[in-house]
Amino acid sequence: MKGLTVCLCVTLLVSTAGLASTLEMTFSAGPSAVSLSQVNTAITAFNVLIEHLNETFDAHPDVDGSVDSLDLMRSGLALRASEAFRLVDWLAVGGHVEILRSSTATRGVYSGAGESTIGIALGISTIGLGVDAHVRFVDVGLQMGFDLGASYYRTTFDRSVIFEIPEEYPDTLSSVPPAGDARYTASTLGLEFGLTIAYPVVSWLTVHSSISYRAASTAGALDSAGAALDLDGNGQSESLALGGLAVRLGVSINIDLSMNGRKE
Amino acid sequence: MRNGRFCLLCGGVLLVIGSLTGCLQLTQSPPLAMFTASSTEQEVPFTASFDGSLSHESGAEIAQYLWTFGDGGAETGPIVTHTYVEDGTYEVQLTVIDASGVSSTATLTVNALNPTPTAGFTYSPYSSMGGAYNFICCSETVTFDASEMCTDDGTIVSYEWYFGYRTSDNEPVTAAGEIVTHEFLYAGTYTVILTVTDNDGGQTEYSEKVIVEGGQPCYPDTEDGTCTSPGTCGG
Repeated sequence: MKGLTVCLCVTLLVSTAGLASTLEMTFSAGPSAVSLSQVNTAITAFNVLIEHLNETFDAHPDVDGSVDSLDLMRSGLALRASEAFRLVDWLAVGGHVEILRSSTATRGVYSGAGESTIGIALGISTIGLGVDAHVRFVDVGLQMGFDLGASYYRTTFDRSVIFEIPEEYPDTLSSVPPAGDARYTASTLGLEFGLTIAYPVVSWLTVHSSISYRAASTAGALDSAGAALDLDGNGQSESLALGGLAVRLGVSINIDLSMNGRKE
Repeated sequence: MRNGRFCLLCGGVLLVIGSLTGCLQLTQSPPLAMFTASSTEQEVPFTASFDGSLSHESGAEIAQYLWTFGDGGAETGPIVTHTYVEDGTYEVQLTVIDASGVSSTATLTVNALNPTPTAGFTYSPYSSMGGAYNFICCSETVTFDASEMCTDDGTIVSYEWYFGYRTSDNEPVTAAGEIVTHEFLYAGTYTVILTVTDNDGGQTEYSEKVIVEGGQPCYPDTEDGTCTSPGTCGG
């Protein structure tokens, strides 16, 4: 699937180059929301347990210490590089590469008869490779258009969990996060819709801002041994929902590729 | 004209985005079921309390806590208790349902253990010479009796005795039965172990030290099989 997508991108870019009048190379970055709904449900479960242990041992005479809660993984930083060939004034097609990264972590120790460590670090990295089309519907100095794209997403999820409950804890919990380090990978195809506002500073440079929604979800992220991602240890694997809004600020460098030297 | 077409197209795309966003918002996050148990492994009968107040609502407030205990029992409420009277492995399940009807479950395994029998024995004859231990004489027939000191909620099905030493073939010297007899031929301290087993497979061991007086082995040396030189036994 990955190879097919790469071939598709290359074919599209090469074939459109012959028709293109302008090549637009764009670099953009910005915050990106990411749903990760089931992962965040698992993080909520971690936090419920951590808060429960903090409350239990806050009142315990023989145990000291507390652990900070984890931040939810609902946003990250997205970096994107793309190039598009403007076929006609109102239409450009191209491809893009995007990297999205989000992480969260906490660590703390309870000291009682022994030391019990709770250390959790979660991180997700996604590389998206796709093709897209840009349709410009307003061009009055300020340009406005919408974007439609399809991407292949390769996602890596890193999990590092130490969850030691002090022996002074009096009860039994219905579920405890499984400890260990693992890297899970998954792939999927997704769609992206968005709006872009651009302002041509000079003929070869455009600054722009965009907001887009990414719809993609990977089910069945597996580690190297084939085990599914199960953060909270409830026996049900978590999917990686990559859906979310992304806001980007960027610049485009416009290169005139026309053979007749026509200028925009 | 062209701009009008583009605007229509743009409006369509926005509609799609809006619909997708709307659909996502309509997807309810399930509540998170979680609970603690005061005990998960104990001899029956025992009562355990279960606290589901750790459960967390992601969207609407949790409206119901439904418990099943694996033995046919069921309860409702955030905090409940349950008594197990039969031994076995049971799965306790908590289902939390929020106000919008979305549910989530959590489970925990409880091991209700078969109560083991109590074990003990007496032996006779013995001479109490003070101190911590009782004394018997070598080659003396000692009767070990477990009939009065072993009890169980069911039936004790076997009594296995080990007299604390092995034969020259390295075989443990044992006997079976509620009441057994044994003769120790050598002076020394023997740890006699009784293992009782009940009809549910529960086992209990009981051990007691037996001191046999006498500096030499005492073998039968007469035609009727009695021993005339029992070492120091009997003074």
